[in-house]
Parts: sequence; structure tokens; C-alpha cells
Amino acid sequence: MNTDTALRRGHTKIKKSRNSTQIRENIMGYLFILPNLVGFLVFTVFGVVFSLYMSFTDWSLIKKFSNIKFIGFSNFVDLFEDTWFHASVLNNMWFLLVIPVMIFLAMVLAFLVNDKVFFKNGFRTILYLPNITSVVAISVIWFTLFNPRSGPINEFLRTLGISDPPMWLSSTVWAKPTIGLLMIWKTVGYYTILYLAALQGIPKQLYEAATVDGASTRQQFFGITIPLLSPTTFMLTILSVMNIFKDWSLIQIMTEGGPGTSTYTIGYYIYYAAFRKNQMGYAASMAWVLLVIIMVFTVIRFRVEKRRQY
Amino acid sequence: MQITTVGQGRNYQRNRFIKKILLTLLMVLVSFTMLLPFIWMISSSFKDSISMFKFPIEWIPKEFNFSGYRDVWQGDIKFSLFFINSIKITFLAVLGTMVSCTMGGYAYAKIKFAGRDSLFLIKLSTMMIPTQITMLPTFMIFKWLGLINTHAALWLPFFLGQPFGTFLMRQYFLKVPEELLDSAKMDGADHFKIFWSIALPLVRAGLSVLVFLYFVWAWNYYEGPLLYIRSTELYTLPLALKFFSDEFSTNYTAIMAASVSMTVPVLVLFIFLQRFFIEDITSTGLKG
Repeated sequence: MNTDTALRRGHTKIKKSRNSTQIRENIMGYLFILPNLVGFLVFTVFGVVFSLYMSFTDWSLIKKFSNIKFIGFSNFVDLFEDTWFHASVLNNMWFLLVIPVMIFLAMVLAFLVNDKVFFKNGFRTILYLPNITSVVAISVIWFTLFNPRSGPINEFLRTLGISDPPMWLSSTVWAKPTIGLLMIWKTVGYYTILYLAALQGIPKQLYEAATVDGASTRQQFFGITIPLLSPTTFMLTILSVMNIFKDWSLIQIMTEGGPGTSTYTIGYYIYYAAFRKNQMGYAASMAWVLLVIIMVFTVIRFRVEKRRQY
Repeated sequence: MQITTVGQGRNYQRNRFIKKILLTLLMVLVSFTMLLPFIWMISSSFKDSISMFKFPIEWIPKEFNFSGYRDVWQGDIKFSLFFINSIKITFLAVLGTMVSCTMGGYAYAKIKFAGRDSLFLIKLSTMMIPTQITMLPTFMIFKWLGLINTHAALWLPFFLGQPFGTFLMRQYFLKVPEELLDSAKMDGADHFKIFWSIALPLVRAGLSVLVFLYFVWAWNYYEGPLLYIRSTELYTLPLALKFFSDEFSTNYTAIMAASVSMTVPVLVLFIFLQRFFIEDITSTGLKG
């Protein structure tokens, strides 16, 4: 009897202390994430709701708050008729063509730098340099290199006998490929590093066995490397698609969307509409179209990655 | 029989060696295209605007011309001020990231508070929201708070937890063995003490990756200053460089000297520390 009550007492004590520990854990947990939580609530939660609200108004920086009107879906309707927006979407599609080039190059470079060459570490460092360089500095440098009149690239082309080299960033035809080239130059090293991480996961024995069977380097690359890297390839493809829709600083610095509308992208047009043309509501509606596009790609990504696990 | 196999082996070895040299040469070529713009930048910063566009290119200038650096550092354009501004913003941004991301990462990994996992999942899934969505509301919030045209608009967000950094630090804290924390708890230590004296020293590798990534990020941060900063004396280096290249578009030497002054410190730092970082950056995966 006595021992029984004692036991029971003990149990309640433990339960009580467990409860108080849990409360203490809760307080501690929320204290630790307080800065995160404030940032999340203010900038993300409120931001998302507020930008959705903006997209249904004619919000503008120069208007007084009381003059801002709720205009329903008319921003979205206007988008469908806006030729600049059409051009931006088409240009974004064009820039998607850069992705296969970028990814294939990164794959080949990772394959080489992994163990096919001397000075592996040196090459890795060099490939990574553009990624840690300011996009403004990169733009300034390439801007002079691509200078149509006296830039070294066109001087070089002239010595090759091309008397009429491209006008690069000043030409509606060549501006997009030039920007695309810059995207590749800036990103390929970073993707190479990510591929290298994935290559470390491929067992060496596979390559050794293939070598014994007399497979050439090229056969090994296409037969082993490419198939086994496909999860990374998939992830990088989705990442590139999202970045191409989102990134706008390179274009803002290099061309400001020009010449004409030839390098306008959705990401840049949002900035331009909101801060240059004072059409924040309109820009917000564009941002929501962008979000939908990115959501579609994210859903695809999760679907495929889930299927792969089973 | 034996001799032929040995011979074949030697042949094979030699072929492999030759192939490795050829592939190395190919990589040298690739590296050259990666490095060429940097070499061009450094070499042009020491030339005048005429010899800069001379062709064939004088990679090593015949006459070193320091007028670009003089214009940048001693001219009317207050480059040293932009440098100080950039150092200030970068320092505060990295400090803020260190505080908020390590604390958040620790909480999400090691404190069992109610609602933790769903909160973390929500935070993680918001990483895919494009910045364009929150860019406009953030601008309005800063406007209401009176932060437009102040440096606070640039560093404040870093104190409020960057999702990527928090996620990164959580991964590192997860690897800290639970038993270590439990024995500390037995001794009566609370989470602040455990975090500070046990967990944090164990994730130094993660912390250095965090610091490096956000250092580079904050140093090169361009969109924020472009949106929020109006007065020239508050410019940071990226915005100042953009401003130069628009205003003084003919003084290429000065523009190049400014680019060198801005990028070379980061590049040198990276080259010295890369052995330490590349592995960790590789293993942690993504940062756009």
C-alpha cells in the first residue's frame, strides 16, 4: 500500500516536471527563433498578402494612400494586352535555350576536373571565380570587351577577316545571345562545383570496370556519368529555369531591357514598372504571374523527386 | 606472354598520361576564357583610354599609368567613402546572419518546441517565392518605417533570419550528437548555455561557410542599394560602380581601376581560403 502511493506520487512528480520542461522548451524555442519569426511574419507573410492586395489596385509611389483604388482584375487583363509583357515572356523563353548549353558544359567540366586532369584544385578555383564577382563589375568588364567599335572582341573578329562584326549589345539580334553568353560564363563554374559533389557519389569501381571492358573516356561519360548525374541535372535545370525568370540585375546593368524590347524579361519588367514607371499595382500583378510560373516548376520538381525515391 | 602484357601495360600507362596532358591543356584553354576578363580588367586599369583599345592587346602595359587609381581614390568621387560604406554594410549583414541564422538553426534542430516542424516546413517552402513578390511590399514597409535612403534598409533584413542560412545551420546542428546536449542538460545547463558553449563550437565549419557565403553576397549586393539608396554619399561599391560607368563612361581607366579595387580583395580572400571552403560549399549544395 505504502509503496504504491509512493510510486504514484513519484509518477505525478515526473509528469509535472515533464510539463514544466516542455513549457520551458517552448519558451526557449520561440526565443531562439524570435528574429526569424519577426522577419518571416513581416516580410514574408505580410509581404505576400500585401502584394496580392496591391495587384488588384492601382498602387503607385506617387499617389496618396487615399487615392488608391481597388480595380479588380484589370491589371491582369492589361497584362494580356501589354506588348512589352509579351516581349518579356518571349525573351524569357529564348533565354531558356541557354540552359542545355550551360548544363552540358558544366557536366563535361566536372567530369574532367574530377580526376581526368592535373591541377584539379587550381581549375576548380578558377571556374568558381566569376560566381563570387560582383555582377556590376562583370558587366562593366564585358561591356568594354563587347564594345562594337573598338572592343577587343570585334578587333579580333576583324583580324579574322570579318569586316562587319556584330554590334553585340546594341543590336536587337545579338543582344540576347550576348546576355546568354554572360549567363553561361557567370554560372557554369558554380554548376560544375555542384556536379563535382554529385560525382563523388558515383562509385569508382564502375569506371574501373568500364575501363577493363575497354570503354573509352567518351563512352564512360555518356554511359555512366550522364545517367548517374541525372538527379543533379534535373535539379539544376529547374533551378536555372527559375533563375532565368527571376534574375534582373544583369539586364538592368547591361541593357536596361533594350535595344527596343529585345532583352526585357519578366523579372526586369517588374522592377521597371514598379520603380521607373510608378505602377506598383501593375508590377505586383506581374509578380504574381511570375509566382504561378515558378510554382508550376516547383510542383514538377517535387513530383519527379518523389517518384525517384520509391 | 608476360612480356607482352607488361608492354601493353606500359603502353596503356603512357597513353593515359598523354591523354591526361591533352585534357589538362583543354582545361587550361577553358580556364583562360574564364580568367581573360579578369586579366583584361587588371591590365586595362593601368593603361590610358587609348592604349586600352589598342589591338593586338598589350596584356602587360608598356607604360604603367596610375591615373585611374588616382581618379578613383583621390578624385572628387569619394571612392574611399563607398568602400567604408560597403565594409560597414557587409560587416553588419554578416553579423546579423551569424546571430539570427545560428540561433534559428539551433532551435529548429535541437529545441523540441511545439509547432517546430510545421513552422520549419513553412519557412522552407517560402524559399521558392520570387523576390519580386516581396520586393514591393518590403519597399513600402521601409518607406513607412522611414528607412528609405538609410543604410538600415540594407542590413536590417539580415538580422531577421535569412531562410537559406537558417536551413544551412540547421543541417550542421543536426549532426551534433544528442547525448552531448543531454548530459549538459543533466548538469542543469539551459539552452543558451548549451548553444553557446557546446553546440556553437562544434559547428565552426558550418559557421565559416555561412560567413563566407553571406560576406560575398553582402559585398556584391546590388538590388537593395539600387532600390533604397538615393544620396550618393550612402552608395555602396556595386551601386557606385554602376553610377561611375554611367556618369564617366569615357574614363575607362578609372572604371576599370574601380572594378579592380572592388573585386580583387574578395578574389584574393577566396583564393587563399578556397581549400577550406570549396569542399564545404560543395557538400552543402545550393546558394544561388
